[in-house]
Amino acid sequence: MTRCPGKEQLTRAISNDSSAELDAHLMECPVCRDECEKTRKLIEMAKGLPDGHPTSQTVTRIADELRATRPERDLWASARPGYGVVLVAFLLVGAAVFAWNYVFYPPSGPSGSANTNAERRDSPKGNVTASRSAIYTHSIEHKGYAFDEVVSLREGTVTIQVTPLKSNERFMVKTDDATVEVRGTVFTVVATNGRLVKVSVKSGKVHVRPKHADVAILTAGGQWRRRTHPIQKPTAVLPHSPDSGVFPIASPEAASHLTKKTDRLDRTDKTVPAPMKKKETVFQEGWSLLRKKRYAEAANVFDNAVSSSNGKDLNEEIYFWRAAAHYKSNQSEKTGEALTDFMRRYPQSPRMDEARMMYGWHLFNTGRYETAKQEFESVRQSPLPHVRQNAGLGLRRIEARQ
Amino acid sequence: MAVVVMGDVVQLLQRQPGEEGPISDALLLAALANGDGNALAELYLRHHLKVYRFLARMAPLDQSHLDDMVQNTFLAVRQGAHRFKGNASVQSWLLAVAANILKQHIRKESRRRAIAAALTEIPLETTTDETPEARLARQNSMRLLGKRLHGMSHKLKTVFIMCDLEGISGSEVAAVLNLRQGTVWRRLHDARKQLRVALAEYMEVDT
Repeated sequence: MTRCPGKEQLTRAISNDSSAELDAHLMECPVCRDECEKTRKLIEMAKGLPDGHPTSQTVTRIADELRATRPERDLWASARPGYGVVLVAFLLVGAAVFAWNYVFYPPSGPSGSANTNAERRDSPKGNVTASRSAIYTHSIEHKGYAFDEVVSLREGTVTIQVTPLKSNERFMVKTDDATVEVRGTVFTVVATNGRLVKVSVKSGKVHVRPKHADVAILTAGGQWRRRTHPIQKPTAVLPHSPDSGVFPIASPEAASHLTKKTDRLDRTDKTVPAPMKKKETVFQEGWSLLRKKRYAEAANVFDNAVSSSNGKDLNEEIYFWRAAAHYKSNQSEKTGEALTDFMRRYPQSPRMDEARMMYGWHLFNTGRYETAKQEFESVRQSPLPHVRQNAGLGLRRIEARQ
Repeated sequence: MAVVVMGDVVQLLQRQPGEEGPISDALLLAALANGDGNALAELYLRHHLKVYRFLARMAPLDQSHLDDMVQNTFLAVRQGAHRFKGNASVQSWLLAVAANILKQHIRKESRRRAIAAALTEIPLETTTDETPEARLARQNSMRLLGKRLHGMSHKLKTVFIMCDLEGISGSEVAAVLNLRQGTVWRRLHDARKQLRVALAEYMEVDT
């Protein structure tokens, strides 16, 4: 007898899907044959289960309904692959537009509502209160989805209250030489002739960015001031001038536009003064003596500075004020020597006109009128008003003597 | 002459001169795929009894539900006519569609409760030449068989009814149900085993 088949083979045999070999086995194996007979009996029993029998009216009704119904298009089944690509692309573009408008650059507004750009331009975040003499402009610059609200201050005092800004907004106060930026605060800015003078912060945080100095970050109660020179503006007095005996020589600050020296801006509240260099120390010492009218001592300081360093690392300011100190101390010989030394070393100096005018008065005082006249004539057209005025005065005195 | 593509088979929708016999089911299905409502009605008239019987064996539905199920089956056939691959008979494919429709129907909880209630009352045919005891035993065994068959999992009873009660070959069932033949035979074996275990007492008495 052959080996009994497996479950699958026996199942196929019962379903009349068997081979001749399996049929032969069933003929000689009573166990497998009984198994098949019982299963076939079960199947015959199951076939006796009640069927569904529709009525003729139902069959007619359904057939008519099926005949009358229109086919519905299966859009997904009939859609071409290209349609899916177009749909996906459309959804991606929509998502990108949504993200751009509401995620990366959300619309601004006090209540978080979806303000348009036009609404934003019409509603500045900064409330500006200006002094009567203040000269300023207040504008909002629209850069894509970013906004720069700018107060350009030329003159006077403005107090500004800025409401908190969004990530795409900036508020700035600009002068010719500095920028003050805030992110929601109350502060006051003072400017003179386009130059930032003072910033006071009442609340919030303010960034002060001078063009030629370090950035200062001010918090509530903080204050920034333009550094003023510790020495007040001096007036060089020519004791032997025929008229009042006085003509002004511009102080280092006042004559700064004539020099290549840049402005010094610094904050006054938190900065630590940097250590002075040697020549600066000498200059400050000599200048302090000049201010106290201790001309001879000032001249000595400047002389020592020149002799100790052989003049290599000293700037023209020291040579000029050395000559002025000698002039004021009535040291005629040293005055002439110091002035000629300065004019020889720095022929292109902005202080040359002042030096020549001073040299003219030195010649006048020593009785060399013709030479003094030439010096006064050379600075008659000087751009410096006090030089022109003193040159004219000197020429008139020379003419009077002649 | 219209040319209809069904799967890999190209058939002529219009009959050739001298061609005898009725239009084949496959050709009707191709016409249905082109939107011919008359073809759908013709398919219904040809196969509705088989679908009725299949659905009645699959679940104890009352007559109204049965009518709805059959109609829904043919509506689904119209929607999916273009998906017929031609690798099985249309009749087998119709029964597979009916099985899917029934599966969706049973998933609804309310319908499931109605089916459970109907399980307790299965009308049985009676014959006049048997004794009351034999008739009672037969009615009990049939009631138990029906209850066990209807309570079987959908995939097992689908294969059992299609193969053993409708007489469809295993390969064709595998084709319309998208199964491997081995899977079909295994499910058929499991279904038969469950039914034999449930009816073991009655089958022993009979033998």
